[in-house]
Amino acid sequence: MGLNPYAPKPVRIIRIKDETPDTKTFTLSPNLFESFAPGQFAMLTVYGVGEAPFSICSSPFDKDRLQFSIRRMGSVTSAIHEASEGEEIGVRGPYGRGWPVKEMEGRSILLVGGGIGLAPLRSLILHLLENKNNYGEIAVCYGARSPSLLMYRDEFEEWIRRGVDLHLTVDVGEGDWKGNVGVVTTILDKPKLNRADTVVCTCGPPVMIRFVLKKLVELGYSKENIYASLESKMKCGVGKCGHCHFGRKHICLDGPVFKYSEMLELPRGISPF
Amino acid sequence: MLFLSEDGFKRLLNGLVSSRNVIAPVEANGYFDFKTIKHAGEAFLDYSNTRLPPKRFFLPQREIVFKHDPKTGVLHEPALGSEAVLLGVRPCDASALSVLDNILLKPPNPDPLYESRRRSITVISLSCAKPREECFCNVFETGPVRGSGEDITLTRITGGLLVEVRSGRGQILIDGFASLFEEAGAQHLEKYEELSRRLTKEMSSRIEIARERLVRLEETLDEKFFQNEAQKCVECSLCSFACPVCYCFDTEDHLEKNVYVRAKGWDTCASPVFTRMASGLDPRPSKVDRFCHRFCHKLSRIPMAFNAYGCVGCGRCVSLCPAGVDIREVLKRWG
Repeated sequence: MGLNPYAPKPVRIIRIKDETPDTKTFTLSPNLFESFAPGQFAMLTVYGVGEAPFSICSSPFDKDRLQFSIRRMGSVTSAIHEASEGEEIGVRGPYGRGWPVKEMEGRSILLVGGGIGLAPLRSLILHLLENKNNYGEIAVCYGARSPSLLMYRDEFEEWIRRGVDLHLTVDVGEGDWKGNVGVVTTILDKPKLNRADTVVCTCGPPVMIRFVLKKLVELGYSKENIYASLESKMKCGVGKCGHCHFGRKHICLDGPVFKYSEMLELPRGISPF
Repeated sequence: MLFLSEDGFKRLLNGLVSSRNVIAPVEANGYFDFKTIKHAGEAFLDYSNTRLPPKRFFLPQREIVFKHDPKTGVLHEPALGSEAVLLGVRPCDASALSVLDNILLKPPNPDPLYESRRRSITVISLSCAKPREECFCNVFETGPVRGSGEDITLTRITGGLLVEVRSGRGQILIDGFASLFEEAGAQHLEKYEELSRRLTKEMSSRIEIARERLVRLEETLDEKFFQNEAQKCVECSLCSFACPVCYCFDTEDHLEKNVYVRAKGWDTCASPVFTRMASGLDPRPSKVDRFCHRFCHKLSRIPMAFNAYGCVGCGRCVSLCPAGVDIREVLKRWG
């Protein structure tokens, strides 16, 4: 029998970090992937419970560990949240088409994230910062429902120090929040970039992606340079189970990152338009 | 082409049953279904079609994908498929296997469970004598005489059967019984052509469409038409489970005697949870959306992704649907 593409390999959870009240970042070791591209995903198994797809949020240059930020939602994510450091979980991948890092070379970059949608963008940010000389300016617009739901807050300072132009917003302010209040589209005009030649990557809830795409075009960003990462239920990650087959695309094989023009061709429901 | 006399066919059947694991249509409770037979006499080859397709011998309703022992770290791989001969498959159902090949064997991640069964089961098709009222294999050129996924094609003509070897696996089987076969003569081939012409004509008088136009289904969805049709649907999923092509699967994990087990089993896009994510978000939330997808998937989305139609015209979904949904109405409208 050929290699069983459905069988995960066991790795250990070596660190669990509380990211927000409903999201934890899990560090897995060893990193069994020879390499992966930012924006790719993996299937994680809680043995005896089930399996689900998750974006890899760690740096592709970290050869020892893989990281995943996981929000408590259903049976698999709840079981992962119950896990302790040292426990074994299953992993297989990397799967899908990630962010277009080649096309981004030599150009300025805008990343737009919403909530946990920053996870696949974090992997990209870490990739870009590692190769800073190959890219132009890097701006990030990131929003969450409230300040406590902002992901990776303890890393923002480091990103800014290394040259990221970071703009934050929350839907509802709380505590000592002094930043912008409003949805992420209200801060998209803040980064001062050559909009016609900037590559934009976005990930977040579908409704956010819809309005971000609209706003980006209004602001003069070129449709040719806009990409979004979409999400779907998946059972295999390798184009066999049928769950993520929409229109002519499989989210697992052809995505999860899609070009603006490709999203226009996706059927209603999965298309952000 | 080879010729096999009726007597030769009996001897072939006896030879196969005594030397191999043979799966053939048998009659039980007024239906025909594929079963492993012990005697050649059990095979009932003068049947219209089986209630269910032979898909389950390649893609079982439920199968173990892996077992993982957390104590030893050992991963138990599932057992390989065992050698068998699947005899008397109708050309439409045999063609469904070639569609499944396009999907499940597509690189870079061929399904090893399906692949091992495809390798170990020799498929022998048998031409249809009387296509059923609900059959429309002519639309996809998947019958009624010759299919596309079989190893050996048998066509019944007066006085015997014409034998066409379609694969290396088929040739090996034929070689083992070489003395039973003779080269087909001109008179045999003439009868074959005549039968083929007659059946094709009969079927195309019922329905004839330009199937390359089906891709328009995807481009211009007639919402009103699908809304009306979807109203009939009771979401029982019989159409998926009786379909020789439907391949979508779900997985299920559990602990069994301290060993973790994952099984995969048939799923259906008619299910309201097929695309619903844990967050509650669902890109296909309504019955109309799911109903549309079923037809778009078969007639337009599978062709675009896998270069084969997701329907072979066996007609089972037409005859089994309790609500009277008929895929031929979709074909007539768009084809």
